[in-house]
This record gives sequence, structure tokens and C-alpha cells, in this order.
Amino acid sequence: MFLTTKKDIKELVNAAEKFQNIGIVGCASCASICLTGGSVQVREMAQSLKSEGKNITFTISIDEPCDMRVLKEDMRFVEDKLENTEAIVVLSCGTGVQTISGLTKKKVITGTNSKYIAKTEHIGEYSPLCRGCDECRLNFTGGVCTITLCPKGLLNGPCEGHGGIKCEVDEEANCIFMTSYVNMKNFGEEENIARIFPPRDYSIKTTKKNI
Amino acid sequence: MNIIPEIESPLSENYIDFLKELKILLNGLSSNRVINIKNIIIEQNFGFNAILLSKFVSDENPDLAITYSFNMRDKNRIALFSDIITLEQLGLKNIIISEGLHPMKTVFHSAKPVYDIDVVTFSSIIKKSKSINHLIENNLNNDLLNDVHVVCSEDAAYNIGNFNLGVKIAASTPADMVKIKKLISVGADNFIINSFTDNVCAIEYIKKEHKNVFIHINELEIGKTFNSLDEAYAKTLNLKADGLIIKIISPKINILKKLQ
Repeated sequence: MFLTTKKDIKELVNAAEKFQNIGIVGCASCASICLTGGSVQVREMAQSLKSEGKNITFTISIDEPCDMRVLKEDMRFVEDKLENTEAIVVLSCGTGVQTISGLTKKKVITGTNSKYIAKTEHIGEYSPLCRGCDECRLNFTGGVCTITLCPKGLLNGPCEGHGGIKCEVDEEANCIFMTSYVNMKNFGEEENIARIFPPRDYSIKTTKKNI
Repeated sequence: MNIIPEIESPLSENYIDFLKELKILLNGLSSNRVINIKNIIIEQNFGFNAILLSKFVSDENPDLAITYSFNMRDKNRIALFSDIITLEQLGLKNIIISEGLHPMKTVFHSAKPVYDIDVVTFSSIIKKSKSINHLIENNLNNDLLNDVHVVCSEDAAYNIGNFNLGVKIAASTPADMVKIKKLISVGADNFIINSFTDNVCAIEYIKKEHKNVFIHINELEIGKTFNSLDEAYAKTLNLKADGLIIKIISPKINILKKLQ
């Protein structure tokens, strides 16, 4: 699940200042789970923008606005409203926002901040576990990602600043290298404990290729 | 065993003032028997360029061994390699590296942390590299599926040579011990333990590998963690470490000046 948080309504109102006729698209998938883009949030957004004097041309929740196949199919329900729509407020992650922009060629205004790929513990409780680095090392780290869970993203062991088993930066959290060590011990992976990772290859991230 | 002062590159003073203050500090320290004024560590922080500072201090004090200390937080591999080449050209061969305090723990709370290379891989590259070509070629070994394989061009443009490499570490958990073993395997020479540890095994292990161990404390810890500098010194002796490094935070406090 990709975690998003709500933007301050003032930022949206500022972004929509030049536009009177506004459509609203929600995401019934990830953004719905994290209560930023479900049908309830779409209705709330419509109310907020109306109270700012805007004319709401349409509202719709789309299962996965990041999936062009689904998006094309669902946007047909509001096709007749699009012509009179100057801007679309999108309550999804950045991928959904840009996919809608690409399809409609309309001005899009994002209503959320995209945070990270998250584990959902309960509704309202999320945590990051993966940063999408494209060089997954979980096979060698006891199944925990030190790039994501160490604030310094280190690969080869803890920094010099941790206090006992606690992290230097997040003093409430344990140093992830201790978890990694304990897991590898339990799994009998002595060879991985001693493994030295070479520096990361950032060229992979720089030129994201379409697949 | 000696006490070695570590001084951060200053933020607000200028070079001239810094050098004057350093001279006063060194004169003050020379009268004390326990302080080894043959060694001084200059640490790069967000002040002046500490490589330049190290060169100035080294030129003005030929009998003083200068150690340049820097971190992995502020520079990517390109800038770090550039520093290594500069240090080699200037004849500054003693270095200490650390991962570095996260920006969130500094006044630059929102700065982007770099951590492009970590201490283990940077140590490995420094110790394996004999030339600029070698530095670049080491940097290319980044495929998870392949073992590290270094191809060295013999017609190197620059000689990198051997650095006397110190690494700052923690020594309180088994994960720290794993890192220590990695650092020994890649050839680190000196181990600077960040604050006191009860993990005598770590110190004994490093000494058994014929490496030097130093304990590093902040002068603000004197009077808080330790009642006096004597107490810190005695504890370091007890741990059989090779020296006590005291980071001087401010010329105003400067615990070392207060020594009799």
C-alpha cells in the first residue's frame, strides 16, 4: 500500500485560485485505506471547495487511478462533465495524480502528500518497510531492510552514534542492525553476517525505465 | 597512554584566529605530562575546510602529527575521492572516518543526508586503491550477484598510497562487533570507540588483531558522565586502550586548558 497524508486545505484553495469549475477524483484503493482519498474524503473535499465558492462539476472514486485501464473505463462516467471542468482535484498518490493528468490533459491539483510504501497495521497505523531501491538485499539481511529502517540507510553495520540497542535518530526505535543480526543468527546465516555490501548503484534509480 | 585533543573546524572564527587559539592551546598543553601534543585531530564539520586547516597547522607545526577526521554524511563518493586525492597530494596521511551524526541531530535539521558510501566500503576502497584508476574501478563493483572483482590499471595517473586509517565505531552490541570484524578484514588501522564501553571483549579482539584502540569522549562529558578528567583517564587506562581522544567543543570550556 502506498501511504498518503492529507494536504492542508489552504494549499489546495491557493492552487485552485484561478479555477472556478472543479472536478474531484478519489482513489478507492491505497488512498481509501489511509483515509485520504476514499468516497468520504471526496465528499468532504467537495464540501470544503463549495464553501470556498467553487463549482463542483463532478465527483468520482476510482478503484485504481494509477491503472490506466481502470482509469479510462471509469472516467467515461464523467466524460460529459470534463469539458466544463477547468481543474481536477485528485485524492491519490502522485502516480494517480499524474496518470489522471496524462489522460485528461486537464490541470490537476493534488490533495495529498505521497509518503512511502507502507505496511498497514490497522486503519490509521502504518509503517515503512520498503523504499523501492531496485536492489533488494532482503535475502542477505535477515529479512529486514536497513536502507529503509536505518535513518542513514547504511548497509554494513550500525553507525557509531547509536545508544546501546537504540537508534541514534529515532531513540524510541531499536537499531535495525540488531534485528538483522538476531534474525541472521536464528536463520543460521553466518555467511551473510560477515557479508560486505559494495556501495549502492544509484544509476539504477536515476534513469527509471518503463517496463 | 596519551590524551589526544580533537578540534572541530570552527564555524564563526576565521583561520587566523583559529591558528592563534590553537597555538595558545598547544603551549598550554605542552606543560602537561599526560597530553600527547604530538598528535592532534582536526575534524571537518560545517565550518572552514578542515583539509586546508590541517595543511596550515601541519606547515606551522612540523613536529605535530595531524589527523584529518571526516564523515560519510556530507559528501558523495565523487567528493570523498576528491578529498582523498587532495590529502595524498598534501601529504596528510592520517585520517579518521565516521558515518557522522545525522543532520536531524544538528542545527541543519532539514539538510539532505548523503551517506552515499558507508565507513566499511569506503575503508575497503581506500585500503585497496593505489591509484585514482583503482578508486574508480573499485567504485564499479556494485553488482549484488558478483563477488567484488577489482581490475587495476598499472598506468595510474595518481598514486593514492597508504593512509593510516582510523574508524569511529560503537562497541556495545553484537552488531557492532560484526562491523568491527568487517573493518579489520578490510584493513582499518585504528579503532576509535565513540564513548566508553563495558564491552571489554571488543577492545581485546581489536588489540589481538594488532590494531590500536582509542576511546573518544566529548569534553562536555567531564563533570557529567565523569567527575573529572582524571576519572576518564583512569577508566581508559583500565580498558587498556591506546589513548583517550577528547573532543574540544569550545575554546571557552576547553577542559584541557584547565589541566595542571
